[in-house]
Amino acid sequence: MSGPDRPRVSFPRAELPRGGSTVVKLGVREVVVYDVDGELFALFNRCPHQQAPMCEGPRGVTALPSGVGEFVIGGLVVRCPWHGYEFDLRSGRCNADPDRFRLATYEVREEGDEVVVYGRAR
Amino acid sequence: MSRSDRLILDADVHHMYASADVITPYLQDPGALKEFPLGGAASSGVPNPHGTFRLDTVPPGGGPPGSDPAHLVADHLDRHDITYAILSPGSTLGIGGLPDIDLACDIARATNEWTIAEWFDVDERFLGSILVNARDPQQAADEIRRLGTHPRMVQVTINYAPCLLGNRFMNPIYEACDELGLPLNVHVGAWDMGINTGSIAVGHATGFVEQHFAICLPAIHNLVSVITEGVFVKYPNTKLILSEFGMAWLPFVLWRLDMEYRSTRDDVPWLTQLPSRYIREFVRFTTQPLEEPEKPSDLVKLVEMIGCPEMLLFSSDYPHWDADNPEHALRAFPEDWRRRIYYDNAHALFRLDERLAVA
Repeated sequence: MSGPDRPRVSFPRAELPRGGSTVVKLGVREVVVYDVDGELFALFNRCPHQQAPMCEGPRGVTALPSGVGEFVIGGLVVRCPWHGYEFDLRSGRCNADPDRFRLATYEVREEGDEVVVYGRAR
Repeated sequence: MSRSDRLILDADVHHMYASADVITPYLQDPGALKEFPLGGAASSGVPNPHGTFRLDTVPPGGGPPGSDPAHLVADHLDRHDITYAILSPGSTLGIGGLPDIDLACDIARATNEWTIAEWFDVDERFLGSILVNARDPQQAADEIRRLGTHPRMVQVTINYAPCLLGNRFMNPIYEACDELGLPLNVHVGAWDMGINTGSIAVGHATGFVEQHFAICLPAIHNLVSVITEGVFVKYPNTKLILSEFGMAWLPFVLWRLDMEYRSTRDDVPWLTQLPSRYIREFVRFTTQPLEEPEKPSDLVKLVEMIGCPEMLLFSSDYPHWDADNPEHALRAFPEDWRRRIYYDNAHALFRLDERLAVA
């Protein structure tokens, strides 16, 4: 939960359009914040594979686990602009290799006219 | 461990026709074989200049090496104290390259009958392979179902398919293997012979060294095909054995294929774990010809990189010229791995407890 001992960064809600994204600095770390139909997600902006800027990659859906030869579209992912690793927006985990590659996720909330991103307690 | 305590299952021993006449009584169309000699269809054009067989394996009564059951028992099973040997028909390695599909199916059926009738009674250590012609998957599936419950026929063998192994054309074969819990053994042979196109996508070899090396190349693509097409997602009760293709290339395949999957998993969403995990669970490799690094201990590092000594099955390839000596081949490995590779892995894969209780 939020509290006085947690690092935080805020910016005006109006700066993040519907379906858009923006990058903020939380201390030394860059965090990319996404608006998906009004729902907010915040993830570390560097791909754990080779440090590519995640904010340059597309956000969208993917092919969910399926039967052989079937393609079922869904989920919520962001894709690395370099090698195409896809990360689940909610968990931050790489769908192909969740144990090895994961983007840190951050708590993000609308507070009044602002969006607030919270880091971990120090 | 003393020699008498050691169990060995040799996963690749070739038994041969003394002449094509031995299977004539078992053929549905005996005349066809004479009109279409096996050898003629199966030539690669670049034979081994020193012959196909170990020079010391000719039976005392004459005939091709591996053609006299009693001699094979004495010369290989007794000499090396082999616990079980899987017979892999050696005269039909070119069968997948035969243009006459029905003849090839007939030869495969007849060869299976010959193995059961003329080899199994000679020694109870002989196990067999259900030879099928992959060029007609439906006839192949019929043959698998006809013999699949025979307790001593422990695997299905093809000597190359007319397409990549993951292609749905092959599904009737996987379906039958899955139904009967039999592994599919793909043994080298005829990869670029007759009408097969196995390794020639980039051109025909012009010499034996080049051709014999190139054995491993189509295996890599076939392995990737069978995994990415989801064969083991669809048919989890079968396994794939790659016989005689080598294994030192395996770390590369595991790493590279996982790398591809991380980038484009959504191309194969039926794979719900890294491809390397499917390979480790569902694919086995026979050891011969075991690669020979400058430092033999590098083989241990290799298997550590593969991460799974359970994937390896000892094989000698007797009586072929490049056979590995059962008592010498695995010396670089620690004792625990030797035990698994010589026997335990095969015992589990072929469900020998269950099978031999029935036999």
